[in-house]
Amino acid sequence: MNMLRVALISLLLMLSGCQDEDEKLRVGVLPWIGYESIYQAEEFGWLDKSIELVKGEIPTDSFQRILSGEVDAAALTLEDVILARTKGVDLTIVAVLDISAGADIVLSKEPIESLAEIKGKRIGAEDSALASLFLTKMLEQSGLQQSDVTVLNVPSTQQLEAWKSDQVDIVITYEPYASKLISLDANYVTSSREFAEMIFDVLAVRNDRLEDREASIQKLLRTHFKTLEYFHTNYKDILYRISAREGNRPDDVKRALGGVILPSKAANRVYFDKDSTLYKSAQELNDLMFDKGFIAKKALLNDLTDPVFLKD
Amino acid sequence: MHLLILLITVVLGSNTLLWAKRSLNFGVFLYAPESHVQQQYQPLVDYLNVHLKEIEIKLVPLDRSAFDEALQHNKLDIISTNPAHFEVIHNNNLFIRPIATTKKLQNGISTDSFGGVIFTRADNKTLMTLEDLKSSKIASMDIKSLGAYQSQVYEFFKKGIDIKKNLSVMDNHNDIMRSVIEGKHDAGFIRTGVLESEIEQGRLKAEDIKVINSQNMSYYPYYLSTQLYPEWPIAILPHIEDDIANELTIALLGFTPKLDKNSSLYGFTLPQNYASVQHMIKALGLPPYDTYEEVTYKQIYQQYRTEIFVFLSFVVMLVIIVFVIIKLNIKIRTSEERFKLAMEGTQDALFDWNMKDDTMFHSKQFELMLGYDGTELPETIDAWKDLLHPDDMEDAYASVDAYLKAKGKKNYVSVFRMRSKDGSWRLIEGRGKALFDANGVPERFIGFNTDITEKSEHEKQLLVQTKHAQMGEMIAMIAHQWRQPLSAIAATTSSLQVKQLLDKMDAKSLTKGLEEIVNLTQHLSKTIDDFRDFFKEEKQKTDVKLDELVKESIKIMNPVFMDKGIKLYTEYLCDKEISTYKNELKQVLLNILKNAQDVIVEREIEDPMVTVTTYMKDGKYCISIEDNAGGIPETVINKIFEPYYTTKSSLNGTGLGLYMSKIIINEHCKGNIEARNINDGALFIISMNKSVD
Repeated sequence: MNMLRVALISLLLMLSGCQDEDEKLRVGVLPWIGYESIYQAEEFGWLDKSIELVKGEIPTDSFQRILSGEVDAAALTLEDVILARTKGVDLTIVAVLDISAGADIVLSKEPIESLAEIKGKRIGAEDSALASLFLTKMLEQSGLQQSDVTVLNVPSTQQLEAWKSDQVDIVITYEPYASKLISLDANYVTSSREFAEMIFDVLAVRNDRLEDREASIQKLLRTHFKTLEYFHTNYKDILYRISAREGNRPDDVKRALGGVILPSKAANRVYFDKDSTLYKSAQELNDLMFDKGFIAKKALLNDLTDPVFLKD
Repeated sequence: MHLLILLITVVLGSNTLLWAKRSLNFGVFLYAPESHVQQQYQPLVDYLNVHLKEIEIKLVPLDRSAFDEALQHNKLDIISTNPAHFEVIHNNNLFIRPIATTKKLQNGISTDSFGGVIFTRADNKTLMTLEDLKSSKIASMDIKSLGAYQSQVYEFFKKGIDIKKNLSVMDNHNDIMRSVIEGKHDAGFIRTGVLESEIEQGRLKAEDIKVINSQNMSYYPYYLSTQLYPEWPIAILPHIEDDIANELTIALLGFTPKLDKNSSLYGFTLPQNYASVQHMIKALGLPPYDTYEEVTYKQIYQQYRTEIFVFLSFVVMLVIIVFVIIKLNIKIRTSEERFKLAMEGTQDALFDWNMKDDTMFHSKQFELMLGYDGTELPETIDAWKDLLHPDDMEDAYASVDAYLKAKGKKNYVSVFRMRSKDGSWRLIEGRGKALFDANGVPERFIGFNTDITEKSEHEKQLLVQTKHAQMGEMIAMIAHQWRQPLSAIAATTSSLQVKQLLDKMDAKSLTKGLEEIVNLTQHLSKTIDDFRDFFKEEKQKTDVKLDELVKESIKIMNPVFMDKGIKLYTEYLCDKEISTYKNELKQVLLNILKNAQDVIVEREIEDPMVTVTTYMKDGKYCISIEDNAGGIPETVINKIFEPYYTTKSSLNGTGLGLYMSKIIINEHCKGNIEARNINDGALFIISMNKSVD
């Protein structure tokens, strides 16, 4: 009798396991060359039906949504992850999507030889932790004070308009928006290339949604890495696809893609090591953000990553 | 002379010059008529021959088989062919290296990628998606064409559609186009760029065609229905020295053709990654990946480990379940058969009363018991009610109600009369158990009905038999008790007679003697009374103190015990009244005491003694009788309450004593009697409730 019970229960579990629908995973994304694989996966129809993309326009969209719990996961900058942690919303990084190495760009209308020349300029930037950091770094290098420049809050979606109507002299921007300005003969000032392995963009999940959405997260990452593999083997094909989606020329997309490092699954595992540049950057950003007053207290950085989702 | 020397020098010099220019064969796959291929590639070859100092390139256009054969014989040095063909070649010779990828120009835009187009007539309203083409007739090039076969088949393959059976192979792109426009085929597969060039040359109108599965690549200059693949590679054979390879590559990358309407070859770029081509032809199982690869069990195991494990677990689980079910089935069948046999073999009739819908199942025996054939009575509770004796109706219902009210805490036993088919009344005993739901409401009532008419008659007879036997024993006891007073009477009478003969009789002696005789006769009379009560038919229970009841029994037995030298110890600890059938209980006590006496005498026990104790235990009224006669043999201890079982010689026992005792205690006094061995004798314990009700 006992044997029968065990057998029946196991059978039921197996059957229920087969039919179990994965918990829906809502993922916040926004236009950024480093997140392109997620958009392309959607276009290819590769995303599992348990995954729903919640598309924003500017970085604060995803950030607010993950804070409020409207989305379970989001593609965010490492700064956003730290910021969320100080606001009591614990996020765990499940993958590094890209490392910006030139795709975050500062552009100016007039050519600028040295950073000191930005004195007195109107700088248009998004109200994001990353843009603030960029500005801080720029001021630091130029030896200027915040008061030496005029900082205007211009969301990336409105930068082109502000540029055309001459409201700004300099913009802190990123791809795909940067390409649109470059095509208007904007001048290069500086870029994330100057801050090697500092600007990480990650897929972060709310800790309270981690457990019950494990299967969906795993499926999303599997698809992301499969799409990256497609990027690798079908480079020209993907250039055309991204350019059509963004409305930028293939050559601009090529340059933009050259401005991000898209780590494979194997490379990701390296970042999840406690001695990795990801952890070092997180520590540095935490200190910097605290010193500059972006955060009132430092975030706790323990259990920042969970490599379980990178398993095969 | 000078002239001669000069001539020789020129000839030799030119000879030397001819020897110095090494000739390389540039094999180009003949994808179109030779004149067309020549037209496309000759400007390139001319350009190279101008720019390469030491090398003379010779254009060798070859069809597929000639191309492969030339490679087999190592007659080619530089090659250019479509990427799928190149994948086959590359697999044959891993050291063949692509050094550049071709660029083409169309509509003023250059591209180094190509793919396939799936098109139909613009007026075809039914064909919109790949799925719509599942049953369409499609014109294509042969299986070796990447742009007009493989790339399209792969798009269908990704959607899980096998389109190969729908394809008709045409000789060239022109035939495919014409066939579709003329409506011979529903759709056509064609390489990117072909439609545009036909439109440009006025042979086709853009509004006449419609592209299916159009890709979202607005910057790509051509119609496109598939993913993109790198254009044709230019590759060098491994025997070409690095210096020449470098020189050739530099020249190729520097090639900018004159823009010519008839030429689409626009130049070269760094070699692209051809992995996408490899993926596609691998997925489709095309050459060189079309050969059957022997798959070992190990490979299968490694690839499908999880699936195999899950499947095997499932099978094992299934086998276990089937096995268990079979086993249970056998068990159920066996027990069903056993139950059926038991049902048929026993005189008991099963009833199963479903109290929710008031139906009642009864076994065949129920009908047989009452003289029916087993199919006559309906399966309702009324069948039972109708046959119940009217006088017993009230009691029968009362006992069911009492049982149900007690929620099964008491046993259900009820005796009632039922009318058999021939009209006679049968005495039926019902025993059963009810099943209660979670709220304590009875759902089913299941039990047995037993015909105890004969049993009851038999018990009555036994009772009589026992009484007769006991009467005999009583008479013996009376005789025993009378012997001494009678002797005393006789002695007194004799003494009076002697005194009268000797004339010594005085009034005093006479009075004294007569008083003695009167006392003795009164004693005798009292003895009779004691015994007479004992045999009275007892219809009414009486309230009596347990101690008193036991004392009365002891009083009868005591003289006999004293006579046999048996010491009788008594301990009365229950000075409380019980309501019972007094005489029957006394008979039981006497029976047990008599048994003890018989065994003591038979076994010639030294210092024989019997202890009788009354006491209360767990609310029960108890009497224990203990002797030191050596106990009941273990082999028979379980049988002593059975009828006609006796350990005594036939002279002394009827074998009914303990059986009747048990019937009296169990059924009349609603108590319990048990026997066990202790120390050096037997112990009988009778326990009863305060009342027999």
